[in-house]
Amino acid sequence: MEVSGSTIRAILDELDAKHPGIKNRVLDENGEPSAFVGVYIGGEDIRFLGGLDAEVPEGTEVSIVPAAAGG
Amino acid sequence: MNKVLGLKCKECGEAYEAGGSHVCDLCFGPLEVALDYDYIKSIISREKIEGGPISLWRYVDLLPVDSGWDPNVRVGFTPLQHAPRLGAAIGLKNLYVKNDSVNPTYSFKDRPVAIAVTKARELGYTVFACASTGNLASAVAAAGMKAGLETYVFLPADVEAGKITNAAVYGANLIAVNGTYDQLNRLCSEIADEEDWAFCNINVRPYYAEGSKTLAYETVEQLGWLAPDHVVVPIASGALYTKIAQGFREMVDVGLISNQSVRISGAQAEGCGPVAAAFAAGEQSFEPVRQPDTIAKSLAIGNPADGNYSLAVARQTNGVIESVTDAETVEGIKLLARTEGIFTEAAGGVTIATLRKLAQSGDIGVDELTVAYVTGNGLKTQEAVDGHVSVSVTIDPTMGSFEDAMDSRQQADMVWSAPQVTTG
Repeated sequence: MEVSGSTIRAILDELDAKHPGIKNRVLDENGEPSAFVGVYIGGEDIRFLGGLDAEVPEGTEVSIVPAAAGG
Repeated sequence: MNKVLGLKCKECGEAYEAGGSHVCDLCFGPLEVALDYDYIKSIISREKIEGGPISLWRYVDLLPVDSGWDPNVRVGFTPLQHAPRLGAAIGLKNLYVKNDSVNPTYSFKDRPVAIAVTKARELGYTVFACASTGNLASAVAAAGMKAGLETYVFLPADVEAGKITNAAVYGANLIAVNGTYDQLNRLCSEIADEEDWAFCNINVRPYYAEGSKTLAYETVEQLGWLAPDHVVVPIASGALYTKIAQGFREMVDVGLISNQSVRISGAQAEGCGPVAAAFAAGEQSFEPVRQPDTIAKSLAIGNPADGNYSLAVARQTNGVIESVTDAETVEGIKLLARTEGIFTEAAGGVTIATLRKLAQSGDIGVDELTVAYVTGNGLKTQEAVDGHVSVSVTIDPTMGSFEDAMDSRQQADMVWSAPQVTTG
């Protein structure tokens, strides 16, 4: 889906307006990204990009993916 | 009555049917298999297990499949080897090595994959897949192709050449990805969303992970129905580590032993040791490692899914999670080979080096009945010891040349092989 926010925080707010409740599943009780969900900007984990305030350049793909196990 | 109650969210406890899913709809927490221990207790016994197949299927009452497994492949029930020479070298009096490098594809991964492939067929999947750091790749390729399933294996393009060959030979679709394991795992999570495939470490993960518990069951049975005092387990995603802990608990839950208080210690490589770093810092959650840098590529998971659960297990069981350098890892590989005759891969070197470190620091008591889990075969990662081992001398095919070589060795008081390890 297309969103217009320029940070992950803004995008999550936008997403939550369309799909109420999604934000509280992606974030934990402290408002930080849940340990069980990976949020990626163009394939890079936002934990390496400044977290929720990481900037999302125009045209970039953002993925929200449940954590997977090892191998 | 059924031994499997269903799936349950590890975080919020929400219950689900036993289907092909791995994430809680409510909280995104991981799902795991919920077993009915009271029922299992009523049908299981030491005698029944001892009369079962010489494989992990002797514990089928504790595994989430009912039938349909391949009895022709011997997975599990690997040797638990008493290790007095290694013990003497590092100062432990009661040491065993669980040599799980002798499974059909030479790593412990054959265990979870045996469960996953059986369950995948039971659930009606026709495509079997995984994201792998190398060992899982060959386990999935072998099991998937033998089961007649279309099989896809994804692994980082930079894993050891031996790991590629060991996966490619089975003829599965082998897809090398330019990126870290964590990146290809994310890619596979997205593929799993689009395709109706059984991904071992994604949508059939709750079943897959159960296979690793059998390492704990076997240890207890092979010790004569006795839980060890202390175990050392390598940590990549943390699934093996946490499942071994669960396995020991379950032996008590179903009445096979009356008690256990196994201390569960973990081994990581310093170049990718997010869980060890968090343990040392006293944190409850780890910080992911962006670019793992270690020769132990099978442990190179920077974002371990069960990392936080592993921290909890270490604290609950009075274990320690420690990390070692690449140089210590190579020494660990050599030490195990030279004392106990087992050639392990780099991850096994990490485990042995960590075992030594914990013995030296006193974290493992001299008399503790300790088991080190050696989970992969050295023939897969020979580059780990390239340049560290070689021929002792090269001679001509004449007695003269041989005698000269022996003389020069004596004169120089040279030692060709490693110093002798004396047993205590």
